[in-house]
Amino acid sequence: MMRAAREWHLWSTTARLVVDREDALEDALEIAHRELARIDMVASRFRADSELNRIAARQASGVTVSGLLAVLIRRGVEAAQLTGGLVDPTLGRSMNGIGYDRDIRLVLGDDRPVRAVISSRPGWQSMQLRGRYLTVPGHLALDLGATAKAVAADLVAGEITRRLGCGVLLSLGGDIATAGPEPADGWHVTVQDAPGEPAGRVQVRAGAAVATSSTVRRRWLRGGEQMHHILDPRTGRPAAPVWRTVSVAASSCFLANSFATAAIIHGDAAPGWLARRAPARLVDQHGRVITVGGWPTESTADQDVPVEEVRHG
Amino acid sequence: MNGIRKAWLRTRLATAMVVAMSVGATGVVVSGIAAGIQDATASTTTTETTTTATSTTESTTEAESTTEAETTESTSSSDTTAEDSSATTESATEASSESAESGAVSESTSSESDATSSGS
Repeated sequence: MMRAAREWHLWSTTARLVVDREDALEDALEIAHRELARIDMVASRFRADSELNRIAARQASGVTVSGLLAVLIRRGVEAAQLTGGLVDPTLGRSMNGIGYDRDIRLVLGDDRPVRAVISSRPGWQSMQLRGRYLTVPGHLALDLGATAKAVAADLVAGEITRRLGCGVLLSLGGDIATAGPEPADGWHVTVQDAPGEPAGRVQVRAGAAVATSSTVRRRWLRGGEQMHHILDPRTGRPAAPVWRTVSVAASSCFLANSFATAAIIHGDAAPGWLARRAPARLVDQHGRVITVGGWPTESTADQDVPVEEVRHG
Repeated sequence: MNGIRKAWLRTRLATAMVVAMSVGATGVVVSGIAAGIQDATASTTTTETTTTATSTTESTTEAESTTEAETTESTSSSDTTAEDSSATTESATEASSESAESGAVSESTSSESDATSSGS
């Protein structure tokens, strides 16, 4: 069977869908567009008519949310549990404070001063989701941006496989999920910050996922300071850019993305933290590549920077 | 045995019982305090683990609730989402153990790539 692929612009980034059966591509695309539109309608922070924004005024007193939004919020809370609160779904106000309150294309031209917003108690521990009944204190605002794209990749890839029975790889801005049967020659993913920079290629087990978090994408100047979109909830400011990118492989894109984002915030401690959790590849500000947790060591043939495998007890 | 001797013995017996009860009570209190200290120590050192475990359990329960709720909505998309919710919750639980995610990737021998992961 021939595989087939299609790319399109989505959420200020690129989506790419690959199926292992050429005849399934059009149906798979239809499912992907429909499901991704549903997720956007439910969870977008940047559209006034999203469910997330429509419930904001009532969330302090408690509100029943849709099943899909409940799933997305729950993943956000689970990400917080897995990362000790470093990935927190309640950082909407902090994100607004550093200027990321609109689509990233509109943020780039705004240079007003930065406002750091810190919660004395971790926000995710103050909110509550029972079934579909959500309560969030009034001083907090939900932002599912840290996890929703990865969760969307998992959900939509799984949905396509369920409907069509084919093998699927879905990339949403580099958050890559696979589902269904493995192609005869496997799924192969390149991990690279930008063209011309150190690259690695890995084979991804069917059903597994790869996600990359970056401090060099979605950057903007605000109040004369360089901002990026990965917030440290302890400071209310962008995490120190120790790493250009962190890529993680895991059994779901949600997990891979949660670990990758938390690793960016962990800074220097990231290799040791990740090594106990998942295979990972980290690139520092000098372009040096570190691999941990069983991530395949990269060839240095095409690179002018060192590559090292780090083992942590 | 005369009356005085009996009275003295009764007093000694009563005193001994009080002493015994006091010692016993003190022992209970001491062992209780010790147990409390142990519990406190245990809860201090394992707060994070316990919290995580409890939270994960709650999440699983909540996920099941959502499954029911979404099944009631009876759209195939919602059902699917609900199933995924449970599956991912299990994955999240597994991921808390060490090296739970090893084996997701291996060295690629292909010259072609299906996608690029570079962050966004």
